Amino acid sequence: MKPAASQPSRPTSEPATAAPGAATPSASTLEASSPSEATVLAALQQVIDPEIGCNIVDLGLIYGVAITPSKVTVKMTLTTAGCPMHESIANGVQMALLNLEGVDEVEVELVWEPPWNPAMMTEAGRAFVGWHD
Amino acid sequence: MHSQDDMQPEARLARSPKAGVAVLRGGMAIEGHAPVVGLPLRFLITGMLALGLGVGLLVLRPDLLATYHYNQYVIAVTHLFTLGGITTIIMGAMYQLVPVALETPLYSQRLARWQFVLHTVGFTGMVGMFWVWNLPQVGHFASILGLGVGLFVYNLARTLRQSPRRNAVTGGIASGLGWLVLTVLAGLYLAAAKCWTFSPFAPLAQMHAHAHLGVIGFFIMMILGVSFKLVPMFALSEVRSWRRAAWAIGLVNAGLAGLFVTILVGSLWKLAFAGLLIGGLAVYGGEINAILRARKRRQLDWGLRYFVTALAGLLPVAGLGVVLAWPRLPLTALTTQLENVYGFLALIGVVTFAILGMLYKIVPFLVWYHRYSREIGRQKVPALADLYSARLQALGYWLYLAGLLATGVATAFGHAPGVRWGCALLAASLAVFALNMGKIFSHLVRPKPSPLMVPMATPGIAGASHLTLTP
Repeated sequence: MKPAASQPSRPTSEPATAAPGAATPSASTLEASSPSEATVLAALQQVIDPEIGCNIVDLGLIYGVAITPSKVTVKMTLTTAGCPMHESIANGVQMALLNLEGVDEVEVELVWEPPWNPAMMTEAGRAFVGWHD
Repeated sequence: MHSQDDMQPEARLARSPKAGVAVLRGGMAIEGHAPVVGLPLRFLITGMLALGLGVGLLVLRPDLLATYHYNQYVIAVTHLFTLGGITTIIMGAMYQLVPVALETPLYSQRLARWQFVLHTVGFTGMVGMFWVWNLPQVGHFASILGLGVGLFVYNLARTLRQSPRRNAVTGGIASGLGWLVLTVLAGLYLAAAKCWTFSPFAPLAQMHAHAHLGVIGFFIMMILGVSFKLVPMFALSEVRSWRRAAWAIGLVNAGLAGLFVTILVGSLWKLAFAGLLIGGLAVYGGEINAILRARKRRQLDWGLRYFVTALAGLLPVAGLGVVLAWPRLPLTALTTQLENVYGFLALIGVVTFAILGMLYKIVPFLVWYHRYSREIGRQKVPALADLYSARLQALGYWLYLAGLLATGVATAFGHAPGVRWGCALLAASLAVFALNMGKIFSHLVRPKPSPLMVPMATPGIAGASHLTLTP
């Protein structure tokens, strides 16, 4: 299966400029076309840290998600500064979100503060790496 | 000095994302620091072939370990292991790991490519000329190799200068580079001293001092330095005390400097400096133990088990070192064979074993990065651990340990058939390792991604999504 995101931009059927007299999309229409936070997080769960094998949501790497019409901003970190996988993972986040309906632009903000620590993992993440308090 | 050739294509893409489609920004540069895959891989593959050839030669010629080590064939095979195998692999790994560990790009990949040519020509010529004992030609090939080492050290030193961090990792790597230069100079001096009689030092003392510089100064120091970055990264832990880590590096450096001089001049003080060095290794062991105890990844993968087991091998090597450094140790058949065991355990038991463990981390990463890094988020990609067989890793681990034990005991007693059987076990372990590497490399020609599960949701109202996953 060729995934939709193999194209970097999602083709849109919307005309670039609305025709004169056409109805302007309402706020509720824009909101309805945007994915929810849960959908975004589910998409991010498809992205794994290849070294650990666990997805980046359960690893606690996602610090925040902001959704505006057609754009998603992800604030995230990595398990270690200088992580050799950082470029791949950040690109993976973009690609996974560009797969979603209603997302035309993705911004990945990579931050190192606060530094990641294993306590940020979800229960599922902790179970994955075999860490129990 | 960075040309466009030196930048990996992914890094260029990340710097110029298609406007309005995907934007990367952050508190730190997001572009990749690792060089293109082919550069470290050519070093790693060459080094692995040399190691295989070296073990194969020991199976065919077990007398090389079962008799005293001061002869042309032992020196040739030792340089096949040290220069062709271990140094080549460490150089390739450094080109991959130093930019990652120091969070800065490699200064020049072009210099590294030239260095590979000089290094390969240099070590193959040296090994061949040692074998036929043509020392002037050894000197010529050693000069070619030395030129390559100069490029390597310059490249990494410039990379180190770019690094924003100064800690035990950078200190260990910088120390290793310094010792490498001294090792090469000492080797060139040795070759020259054989051609023209001018050296005031005893030939055996010169050779032993040169060997300690290379094995402890370059090999073990590099392992120490990068392990402060890699062990916490792979075990999900952190360095517990940077001060302790720095002390370990400092003590090993001080101990080695004194040991080199005292071996060279035949001083009885070498035991004191050996003690200082072992103290540094003990401090290092304490820090690694603390890092591992604080790890959040409970089960160590086999790559790390190889590495940690190799570090534990420093204990018997250090013990033997103390025995051999003991003042006025009687020169007997056993003590001379123990020198063989000492060198064998240090090179094959510690350094090579640690390198095999690290190769199980580095090679899958390189192959994964080359084959899957652009598919992540688009397709379901395998994790690194899916690229190889953990069962084969376990089999290789136990074969290697058995081979070390058998070869070590047989060498101590000068028992050539035992050495052959022990080395055959080591060769079997390397064959298993090669099989696993073949599984990893097969992903380059036959990648195995699977379709991504794209979440479908009722869009719009936050928190009211009905999530389903469809392939």
